[in-house]
Amino acid sequence: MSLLRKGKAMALTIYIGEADQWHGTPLYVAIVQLLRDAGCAGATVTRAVAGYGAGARLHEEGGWRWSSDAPIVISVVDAPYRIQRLLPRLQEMLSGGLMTTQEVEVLKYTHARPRGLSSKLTVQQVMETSLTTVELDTPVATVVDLLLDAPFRALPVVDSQQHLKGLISTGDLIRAGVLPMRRGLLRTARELDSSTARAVETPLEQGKQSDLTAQDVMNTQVRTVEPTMQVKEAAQIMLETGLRRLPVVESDGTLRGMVTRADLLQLIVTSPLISSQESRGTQPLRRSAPLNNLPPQQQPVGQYLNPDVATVSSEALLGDVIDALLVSPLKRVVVVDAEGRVAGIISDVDILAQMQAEARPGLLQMLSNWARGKPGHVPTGALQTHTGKARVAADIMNRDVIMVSETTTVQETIERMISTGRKVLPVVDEQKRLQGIVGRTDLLRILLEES
Amino acid sequence: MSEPGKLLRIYIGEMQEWQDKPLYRAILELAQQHEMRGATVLRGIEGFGPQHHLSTERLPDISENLPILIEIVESEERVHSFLPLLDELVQQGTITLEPVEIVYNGSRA
Repeated sequence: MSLLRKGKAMALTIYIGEADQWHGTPLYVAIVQLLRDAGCAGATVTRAVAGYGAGARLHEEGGWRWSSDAPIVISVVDAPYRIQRLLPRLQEMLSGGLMTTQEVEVLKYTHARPRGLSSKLTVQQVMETSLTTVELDTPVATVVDLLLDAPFRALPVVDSQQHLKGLISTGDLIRAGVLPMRRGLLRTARELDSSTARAVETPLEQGKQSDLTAQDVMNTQVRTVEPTMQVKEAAQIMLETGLRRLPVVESDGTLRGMVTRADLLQLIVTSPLISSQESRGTQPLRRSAPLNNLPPQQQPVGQYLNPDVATVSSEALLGDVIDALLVSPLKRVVVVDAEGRVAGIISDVDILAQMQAEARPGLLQMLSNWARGKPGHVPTGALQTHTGKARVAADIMNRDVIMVSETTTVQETIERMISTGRKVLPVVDEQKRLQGIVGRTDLLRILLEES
Repeated sequence: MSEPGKLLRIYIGEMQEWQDKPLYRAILELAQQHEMRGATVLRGIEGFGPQHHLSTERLPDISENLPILIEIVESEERVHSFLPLLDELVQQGTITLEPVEIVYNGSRA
């Protein structure tokens, strides 16, 4: 079980004496304790045979003596932010000695939790407990503002006793005619040129003017889980229902937290060197053939991929790209060249951002109709004439595609997905030819296979 | 007459094995076969790794898997051709790479 990644980390080296003390314990023991408590990736203490430091006192291994005052070297490799945070506390503990930091490249860091979702873990151990909630009579304008800017995707509705009454997602707001389209598009549109921004702001402002309150738009058929439920069961419910988040509710109906698909995937990504804030590539140095007795998590992802992926050629006309996008369940279209190699990926946001300003409001109108279940005729012809320079898939595709090789393990695929924040990853063979695609739900399902 | 090089550090446990021999020994032999110009094995007296299991010489119960640190200094090119071989052996552990300036190279003198 290995995690191979090319990433910058920091090596911290601490030089002290073995006889140095901190509140009655050897200083190096206290430092290791601190590092462990802080969740550091690891620490190694070595004892040197002789040396001297800032105190100019000669340290030498005890040998015949009962106590030893040899130089001690503590090495720590971890994410720079974690080391930076620990430095002040370490400086406080040292009276003399030396600390150095050095940027290093981590080629390998193995894993803390090599097996899937533990049956000992319960939902309350992993759920998010600091939730933003709204009340039944909260105006819909407040709901819109909260959902558009918040890091979460669903807003629980509670009564005065904190009992869960319903849940509001952007999908519910779209269905209620309050939001014109999905959040990602709205956000992108607002940052583009002024007429595009206006094209979404106008319907958005109209939607917010309505007299509706939270209880009018909320979904009351909410599947919930109890805090003591095993995470495995919660994962099973997500797979069966297709839900990405479940409110955690006591038997009396009190809302305790929320558990998401990402929380469950994050469970097996325990490496402190992986932060969801950073996006870095992973490159296996080399992969040996998979062994049949390995748990699914360590098997190559190629065995589990979904071959049914929407693709277009790099010369595909924009209208065709949009058609493919609208019917793609993953809301992504992979662009492949003549040899089937991945050239790029396109989402609705890419189309919006890359096309000419004049054509954007038209596209938004179309996507908005589609989101509200009024697809009608997709006016691809009309679109062609307005798209200006961007005519084919190659003009608008995102060329920086994060993908995995079919020999990448399931574990590494999950890590890649979490660290890059992607929801789906194209899977390619050695020649970069597209083999399929893998999504978060697929990976959650694989984790449940082992028990 | 200095030249740029790379310091490769391999952090493993003393109890880890490769084909019935201690892993650190297997790594040493591999480095020798690959004609790396040198390797130094250090045994730690205390430490912990990704599993957060502490090992220390201070307590006999948890003293059998002390940390082992192997340091190898070589040219970037040679380190990179060594890595795939090393990767095969090290199933568990941490490997880091950092730039160093080699200011004296006795083996090539």
